[in-house]
Amino acid sequence: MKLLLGLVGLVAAGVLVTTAMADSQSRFLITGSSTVAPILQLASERIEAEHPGLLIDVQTGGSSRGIQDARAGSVDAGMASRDLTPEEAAGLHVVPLAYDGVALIANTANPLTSITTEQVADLYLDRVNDWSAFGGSGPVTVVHKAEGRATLEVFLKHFGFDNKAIQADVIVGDNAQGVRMVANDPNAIGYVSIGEALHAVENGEPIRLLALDGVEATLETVADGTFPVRRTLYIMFPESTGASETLLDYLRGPAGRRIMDELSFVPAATGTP
Amino acid sequence: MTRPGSRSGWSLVWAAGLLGGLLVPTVVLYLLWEGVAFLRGSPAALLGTDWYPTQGDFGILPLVGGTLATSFLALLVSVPVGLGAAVALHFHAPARMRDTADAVLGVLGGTPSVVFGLFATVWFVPHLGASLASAVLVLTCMVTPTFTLLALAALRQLPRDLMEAGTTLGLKRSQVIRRLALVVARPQLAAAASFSLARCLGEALAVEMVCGNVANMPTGLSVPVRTLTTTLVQEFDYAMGEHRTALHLVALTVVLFAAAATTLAIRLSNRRGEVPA
Repeated sequence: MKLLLGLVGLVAAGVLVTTAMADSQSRFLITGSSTVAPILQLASERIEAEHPGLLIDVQTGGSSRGIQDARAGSVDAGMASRDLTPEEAAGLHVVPLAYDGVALIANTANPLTSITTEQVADLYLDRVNDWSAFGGSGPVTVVHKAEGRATLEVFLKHFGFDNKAIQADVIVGDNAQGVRMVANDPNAIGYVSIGEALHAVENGEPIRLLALDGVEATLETVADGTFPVRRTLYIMFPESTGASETLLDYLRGPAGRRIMDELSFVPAATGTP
Repeated sequence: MTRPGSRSGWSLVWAAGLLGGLLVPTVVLYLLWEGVAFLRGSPAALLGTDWYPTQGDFGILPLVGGTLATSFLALLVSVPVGLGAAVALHFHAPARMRDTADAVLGVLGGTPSVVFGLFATVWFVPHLGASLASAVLVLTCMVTPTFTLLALAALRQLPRDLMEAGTTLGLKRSQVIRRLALVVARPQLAAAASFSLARCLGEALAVEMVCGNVANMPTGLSVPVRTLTTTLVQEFDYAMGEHRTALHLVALTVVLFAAAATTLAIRLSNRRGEVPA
């Protein structure tokens, strides 16, 4: 009997602690792409300061999850760093926030400054294993992305690769890990979000963004639409509420644009669609 | 507040223990529950050698191979090194050195795995590549201190009169250690190895940073590999549908492996080694 009482006591204590942790404030939940998440994280910190009582919770879990959660209405907004299919977009209020590119990156020790689509195929499909083929030296370390990531989908779709045909030497999770791998390995080649790569270069990481088929990977070429591997970063809402309007107004306003600049993305309003 | 030792105080302790004991079966049941849809559908798909979960290939054999290869190869290094260190510290080292070593090993054993991972990305990966070799080395670094501490504890448990009896019988010190101490302590040392194995099987973060994460069979030390746990680290948050269901079974597999190693360790540690006549 006492044992039972003790058990009940412990469970009750656990329940109390968890309910105390769950906040009674109104919580605006956003899930999805980890590429888009930093925009919302920065924005939410500033919006929360201006709107006490509004609590914005940003969780990452990939574009597909963001879309699925928004469709199910289990969140207040979803984030995606790839285009939605017409079926996915049906019934959602989808708003383009910014443009981003996916750039090939190499270590600064690698003499390569530009790359062609053909060369990318040679490297990723294991037809070329040594940099000597392209004027460098050393065995190539092919850095690739884990399954379920939007950057992977954008990359595969643009180059028309079947994921099973790719011979990777390293598979990384997020963009930061991709940057770290290439920064640590003079022979590595990888691909990451241009925004993230420019940010890493600013922070002194020894990586270089490679021009693709003669087009430099910069914010300007992403903005004017000439950089070939471009994607749109979206936020989508299952329904329009006061809080969602506040968020959207902020993101579309000058403060929102400053955040995108800060993160090296091209605000959708200023780029060529 | 209840007095320690009072009956209600004890009932609370018992209840806490019971909850802890219930947790493991609950976790196993939860993983089974989440994974059962996959088992009903195409369980044989799990036994394939291709892991392309978003394209419908769910073969976990390369992941199992990666987990077993990294763990057992790490033990192959950790056990001899740790055993040598434990014998040297227990039988040969002066007391002050032993205390210092205890403290250092304790700190190393308690160091978070991400620290080992960062260390390994800078020191191992540039030379060995993101590969099985790097993964084995980082696991070795993590588990050798733990194994050494457990081995030391096993040696300290030996009855003192055993050593004295050996010396009285005219055995040399090295013979006492090799033929008596290590033989009597053998089950406990094996238990220490099994606990270390369980830790290797379950390690995720440090390995993920250095193993390469390509779902290859571990056919060589320079091959990039992927383990069950690193798959969970990289894919779980991004997985949906069948992929997510399959990952629950991947998690279940690790739990069962680690549980087997731990159970073995517990059974061994309750045994006593036989001294040969």
